[in-house]
Amino acid sequence: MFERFSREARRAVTAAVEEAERRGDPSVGTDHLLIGVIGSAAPGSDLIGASVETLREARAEMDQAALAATGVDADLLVEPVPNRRRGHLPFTGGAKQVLEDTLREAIGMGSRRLESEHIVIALTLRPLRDPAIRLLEQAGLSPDGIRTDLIQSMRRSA
Amino acid sequence: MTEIDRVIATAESPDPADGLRAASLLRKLAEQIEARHVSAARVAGWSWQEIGDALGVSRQAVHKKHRRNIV
Repeated sequence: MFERFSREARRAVTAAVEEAERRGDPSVGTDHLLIGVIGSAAPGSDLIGASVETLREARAEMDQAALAATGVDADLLVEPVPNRRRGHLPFTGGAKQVLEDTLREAIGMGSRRLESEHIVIALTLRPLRDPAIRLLEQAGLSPDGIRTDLIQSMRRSA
Repeated sequence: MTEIDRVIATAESPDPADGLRAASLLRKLAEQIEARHVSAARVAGWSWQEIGDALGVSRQAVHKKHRRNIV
């Protein structure tokens, strides 16, 4: 399905994989996709209103809170160790769903190509417990607000 | 109550989001510690059998898991 992705959308997905590798995470999730879109400065990412650093900080806050809530010494958190495992990291179920929804959004908006904006829209439509949604909310951002702004901006430039 | 009992008891916290996230973080931490020290052990001349014995897993399992990551 990637052949229909624009160059920017492809770069965003690549950046998401790199983010997961950088952190040593076992798979590429929707939270990595969100950071990938912003990190690759993909079109539409400016409307999210957060930097990669902000989101990484928000994620660290959630990690600390989760460990504290489970009674584990939060100092155990170590610096991310890059994944040295060769081969491709798998995508989580949620991340796969986002890529499928990206296609649906593109078709729904009458676009022949899958743009990075469609990835962002698909991300904002995730359910409440999705890692990307939780990350946005931890950073004080509204998924619905982002989607509304993005759709407006796309209509203006269409 | 031992430390691990205390951790597990607290781990039954009302919000599964925190518990699941903590479990995932701790698994990652354990994997990172293991990778680092398997690598160090190989450099120090440990055999795969010795490493497997120390980790409590088979020689084959530890070799299969780590052979590609050893620098």
